[in-house]
Amino acid sequence: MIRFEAVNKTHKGSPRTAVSDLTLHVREGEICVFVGPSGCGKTTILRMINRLDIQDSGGIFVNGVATDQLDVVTLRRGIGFMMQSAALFPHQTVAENIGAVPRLLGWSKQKIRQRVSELISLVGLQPEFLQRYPNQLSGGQQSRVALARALASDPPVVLMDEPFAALDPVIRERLQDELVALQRRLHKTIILVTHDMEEAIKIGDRIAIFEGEGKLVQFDTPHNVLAHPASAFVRDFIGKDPLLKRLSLMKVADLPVDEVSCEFKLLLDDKSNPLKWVSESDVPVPQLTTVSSNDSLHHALVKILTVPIGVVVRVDEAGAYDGCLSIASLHSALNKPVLEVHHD
Amino acid sequence: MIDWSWIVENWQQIGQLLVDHIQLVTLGLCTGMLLAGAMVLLTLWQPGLARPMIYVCGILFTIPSLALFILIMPFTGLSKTTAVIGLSLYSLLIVLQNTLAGLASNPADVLEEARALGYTRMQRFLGVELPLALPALLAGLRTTSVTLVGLVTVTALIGQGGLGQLFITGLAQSFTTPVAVSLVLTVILALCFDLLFYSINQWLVPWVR
Repeated sequence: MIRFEAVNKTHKGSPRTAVSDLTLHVREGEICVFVGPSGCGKTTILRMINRLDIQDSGGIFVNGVATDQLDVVTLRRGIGFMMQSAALFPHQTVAENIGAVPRLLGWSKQKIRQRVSELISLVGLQPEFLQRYPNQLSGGQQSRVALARALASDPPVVLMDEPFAALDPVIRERLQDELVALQRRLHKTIILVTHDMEEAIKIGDRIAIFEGEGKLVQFDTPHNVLAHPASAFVRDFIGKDPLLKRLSLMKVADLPVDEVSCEFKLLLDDKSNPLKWVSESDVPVPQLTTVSSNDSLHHALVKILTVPIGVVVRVDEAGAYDGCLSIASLHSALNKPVLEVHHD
Repeated sequence: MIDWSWIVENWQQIGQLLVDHIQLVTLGLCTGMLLAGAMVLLTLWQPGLARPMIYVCGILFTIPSLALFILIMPFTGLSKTTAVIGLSLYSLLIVLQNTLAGLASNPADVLEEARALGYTRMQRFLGVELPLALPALLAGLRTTSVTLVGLVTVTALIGQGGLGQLFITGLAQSFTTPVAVSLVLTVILALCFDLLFYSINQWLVPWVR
């Protein structure tokens, strides 16, 4: 979908290279996260896609067409763009902001109105926000409007430059979750720039990690990046406890169904939902703790460590018994050859 | 001290002078605004011109008004044209300076976003930059109109001047009534212009709180 071929760039008057010999292919329908320390050139790379910055050499192709072969205004209107500061037009209402690109494209008023009201609910805002001005919105609400504006003409590609960096952690996490959920429905090709590795791991289908001067050091799924960092730089950038980060990426469903031997027996009802532990001797029976297949392994680990017997019961989506988990199950899962969680 | 009967006898002449006064202010304001508009368009074509323009405006503004009228007189004589040229220059200076300053202080990220969304240069200017600079532009017009109301009285010295004529009449005859009438009307007129542009601002710029 978006291809960089041997792209180089040095900003005018800067002694440092911004992008060095970048070749990279972002597939259709994936969220690709560019991550790296500040000043590593990731934002420049993003901005070159819609020609806000222009490469010194090499080619950039969107859908097979070289970007410098297209009229720059047409190119930009076909690509959604969202900045760190939501950068809404302060003199326009929320409705006018969202309708900006459709207006440029000459859509009818009727069609714009309809699209705007679709979008406002898509990004989780009430319709009464439509008549407000940006300075009457909170930071999180402004980001939502900026996202709606970027999606307005239903562009296949959306570029996001640190879209959540300025928000407080609670709102940031919520918007990250919503973006992932939204992407499941929309299947856009999204490129998101961030300096936050946690964010990259959480949202990215694939992560491109850049070192200084725009050098791509690793481009892989979050899983593989965590399990096999390509260099000491990547290892440092991932930070402490990559194992725990991997656990939060994996779901209980990713583990094979396992039986664990323990001194208690499990009582099931007629729908095979687990009821309680029972004991043949007079040892006090511990409380039953379950994890469901959608829980993360991080969550499962916490539960395993919390219960005295070190075993939790795994249930499927219907709540039916589906094996047990202990530390040993997690241990073998992590030490097996890497599980492919994101199917490409 | 105030000779009310003089006012009653001369109300028609006073009215006429008031109309002249308003006319001169409006002419100066409109011409200045058009010239400023043309120069702003020039800066779109050559952005490097904006900064020197602001400096030149600042320097020209220090020329005393009387000197300016006297400088223009050899070309256009004791005419309304002389008055309007001088007044227009002052209004150009103030409006241009305010507008350029307003455009320069527009938030860079918003302009960049407009570029990223695919606005052409002209769409960006008319759809984003100008509306955002509107408060500064209107503040400029507000200051200009009030300044011009005062300046017009000075043009009485070159035979124009609207209400300024009453100052000269009063001064020549050592008669306070015309001076007082002129003073009161000038102040009221300035307040009216001020209020006018304030209202326009409230009406056109609903997004500033």
